[in-house]
Amino acid sequence: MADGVTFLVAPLALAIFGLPAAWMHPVSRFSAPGRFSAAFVAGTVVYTVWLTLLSAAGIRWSDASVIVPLTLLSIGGALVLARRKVGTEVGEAESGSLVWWAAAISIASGTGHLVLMALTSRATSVDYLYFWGVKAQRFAALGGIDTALLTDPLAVHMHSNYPPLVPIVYAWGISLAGRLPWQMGLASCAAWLLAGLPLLRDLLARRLHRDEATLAASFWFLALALALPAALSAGNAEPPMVLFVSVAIAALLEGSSRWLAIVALSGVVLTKNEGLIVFLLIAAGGIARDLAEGARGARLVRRAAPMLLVPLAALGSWLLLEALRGVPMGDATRERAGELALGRAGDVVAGMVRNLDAGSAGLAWLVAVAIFVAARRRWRALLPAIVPAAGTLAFLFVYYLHFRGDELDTWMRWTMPRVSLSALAAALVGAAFAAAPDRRLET
Amino acid sequence: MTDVPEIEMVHDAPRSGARVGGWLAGCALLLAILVVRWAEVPAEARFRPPTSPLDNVGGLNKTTRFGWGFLWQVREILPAGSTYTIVAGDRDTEMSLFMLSFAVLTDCKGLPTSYYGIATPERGAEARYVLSYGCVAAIPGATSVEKLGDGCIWDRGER
Repeated sequence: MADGVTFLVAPLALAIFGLPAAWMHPVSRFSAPGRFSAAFVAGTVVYTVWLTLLSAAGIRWSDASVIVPLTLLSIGGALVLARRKVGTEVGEAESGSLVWWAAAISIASGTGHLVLMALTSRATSVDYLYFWGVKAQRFAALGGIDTALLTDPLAVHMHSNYPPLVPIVYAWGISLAGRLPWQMGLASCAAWLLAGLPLLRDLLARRLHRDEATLAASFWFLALALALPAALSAGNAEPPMVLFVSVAIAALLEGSSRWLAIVALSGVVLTKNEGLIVFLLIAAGGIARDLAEGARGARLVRRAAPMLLVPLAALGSWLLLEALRGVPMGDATRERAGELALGRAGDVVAGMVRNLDAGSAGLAWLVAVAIFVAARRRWRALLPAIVPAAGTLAFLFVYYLHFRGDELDTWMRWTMPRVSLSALAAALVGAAFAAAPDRRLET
Repeated sequence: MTDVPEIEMVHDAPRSGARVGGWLAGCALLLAILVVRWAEVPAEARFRPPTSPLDNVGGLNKTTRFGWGFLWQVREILPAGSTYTIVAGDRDTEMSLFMLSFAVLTDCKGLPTSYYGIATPERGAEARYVLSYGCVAAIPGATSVEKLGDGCIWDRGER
């Protein structure tokens, strides 16, 4: 039990490595949980990149190679930025008000649902047992990314080319807990969502009234707390993925925290292979929004370049390791690109619609779409959410057209609820900002 | 990387009763769905502690579900550093158990009898121990080590 709790709580300590984020504008004006949340997002990304680079260089993970340099760097950065702290705090829902109670009940119920579904084995991702947890155990035992495992021809099922964030973060928990508590580890899905909630809420509060921001964030949390178990995503990479996607889009829509979007986008590409597609879609949405709002020439490049280059550089740490250590960059278990079964287009569309239930009988999607329709006049401002939400679904349509077997329906029922979670997260965050009062979205 | 704020928010955005009501209704509906989800689970099974992380995962075949427990029983018996292979009634089960074994039999080395449905008997033959899920077959020339609830362990001697 104690090792289980340690494993669940351990990743939150990664916030220590992202302290400067808590003093960056506008996060420095956020609530304490919101600032912690930003530090956690940044710390997780910095930690993953650093450990990947250490393994690429053949240096073992240790206190001296990991904790000491990252802590010093983080505290140093925070001290420099702390001098710049200015401004006002974002408002919070009045304690004891109807809104406060509604949010408290929603968050407590969503957390309870996630944890109970995980602990009673109703939300388990088999991939957690097949490879995410396995990699984490091996990385923790070795004190580095186990390239012998990733290059073993009889371990192709490890999906060696999947980016390393999840096993690296789990390995951190294992190193503190002493082992991977397989059953309790499933509840980490709740920790990821909870870790992102205050940051999302505070980003929303920059554009929405504090009560509306609190309720919109609660809706986001509840919708995903229902969707993750329905997609059997306890223990896999979807919980961090929806966190990073949500923060990236919220930061872009908020408008003055583009650096936070860049950090979260780095998390997106380090979490899943599909993350590269989702990252490109979010970045494309951000650039399209800038173009639609008149950014041209040097200004456009200045805004777009860091958003594209920094996440790609973060992914570069993993590609470097793959190149240096001979880890396959492709995945032998995947379908070959370009071999489309166009005759199945109708079946694929029908299957996609059937599998957008998201654990809420489709309500989460319906609410998001209804808000987008109501806010259609402001579609330009919402492009950072619309492009990844619609684009991910379009990508999945093409992906399923590649399926060559006889059991398309079974395959879609098994995978679609999971792989559409990023699109759902994008739609929910976009809808929350779309509900902002007029002119609050214009950047 | 500097970040120049383009809009400064000093005051709250205006509050709209309709928007607050809308979000409240949305949360209430999701909460109602959550309650229905749990009401659908038979009361006696609702909070029953699982025996494995796979107990209640819909869409999984039974062998994968029970194989997790089998492998943990095997873990108690197999000596550290030994090699093993897994045989089962069908290739899908063999692949599932082989993948799960990486999580459980961490001190041993797995060599597949089949991999992604393709027979690899020459690799499986290199393994000392044969984990026969469901005791599907006696292993010629091997001695029985243990008969467990979900399968048998056979020893083929030093390889």
